[in-house]
Amino acid sequence: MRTSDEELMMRCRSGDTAAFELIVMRFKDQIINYICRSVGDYHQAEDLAQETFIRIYKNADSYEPRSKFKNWLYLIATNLCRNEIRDRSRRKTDLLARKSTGAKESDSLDIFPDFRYMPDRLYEKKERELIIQQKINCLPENQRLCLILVTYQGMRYEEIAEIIGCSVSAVKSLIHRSRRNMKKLLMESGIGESHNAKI
Amino acid sequence: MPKSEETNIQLSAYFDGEVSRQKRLKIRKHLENSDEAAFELMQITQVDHLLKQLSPIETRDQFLLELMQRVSETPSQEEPTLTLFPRDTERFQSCFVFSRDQLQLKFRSVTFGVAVFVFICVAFFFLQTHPIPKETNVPLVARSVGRFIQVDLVSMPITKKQSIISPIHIEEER
Repeated sequence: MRTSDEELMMRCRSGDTAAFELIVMRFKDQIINYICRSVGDYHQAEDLAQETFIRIYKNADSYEPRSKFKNWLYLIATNLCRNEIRDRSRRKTDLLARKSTGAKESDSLDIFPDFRYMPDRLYEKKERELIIQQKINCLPENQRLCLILVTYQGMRYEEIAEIIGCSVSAVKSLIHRSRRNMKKLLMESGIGESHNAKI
Repeated sequence: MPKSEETNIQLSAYFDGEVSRQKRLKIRKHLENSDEAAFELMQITQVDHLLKQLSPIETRDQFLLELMQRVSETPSQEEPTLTLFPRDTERFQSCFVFSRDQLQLKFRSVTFGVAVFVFICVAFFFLQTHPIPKETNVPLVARSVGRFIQVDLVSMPITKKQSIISPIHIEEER
């Protein structure tokens, strides 16, 4: 019989490292996928996923079994993602300010990577994936997180509301707006049109 | 919010299977009659289909090893932080779903704010219950301080009395 996540977490609370390892095994792929889609960078996603699990381990004592473990885990990951997204936009603003004052262009390489010369990205599928990911990154913070949670994590609106920290009706509205914005962005990049044509 | 916008929100929720049975039947009926709604639903389906084209990201094998190594280096308990009321802070924290890290800073400032507020309330209450006599010709601060000192003017020798009481009061006494 499969041990529940909550049960594993209770074992982890009493210092069982094996239980924690099992939790990591269960959720690592989901969490990395979620963070990676949110921040748009695999290496950053791995770091943040590690940070998420370490926080889970450190704060195991404060875990209340009455709340769903998965939601708690996603809440921590979401907070980390939010911090990262905000830091990035701040860095981006700084960068633009520096650019306007005549700073070196090479500074921007870590933020705006150039994929043109990477052989892997020449494939159409990869290129399409890249554009889709870029467009996801263009969405406002909450819209992006809601869209990722519903599309890639298959979460219910109620769970998303708990993770994002708003009402279910707000989640409904956010998801609708994120889809509308995505449609617009994909059409602009020519992806939506070709897909429409195929259909 | 315009009606069409509200309908589109409902269509999006319908697509995700997040509407009640009754509402679902209503939406189905609406879809049969409205081409606009049917087109909107088709677009939602297309966007979702496009988004799902992203292939899942595979985690590196080293991830678990690296993580467990980091975990073995970290203590299981967070170091206690200095707060004015640690017990209350913990109680507050357990009430909310937020992580402890995020709230520590907030609670420190909240605790300080509450302490300042309580102090102001106590001071205000004290001043209300111990009104300052208005007839004295002494500045407000001096009168407030004087209340604590409580000078006994009756039993005091006349020479000292004269030095304490203002000239106006001496005039009145005469």
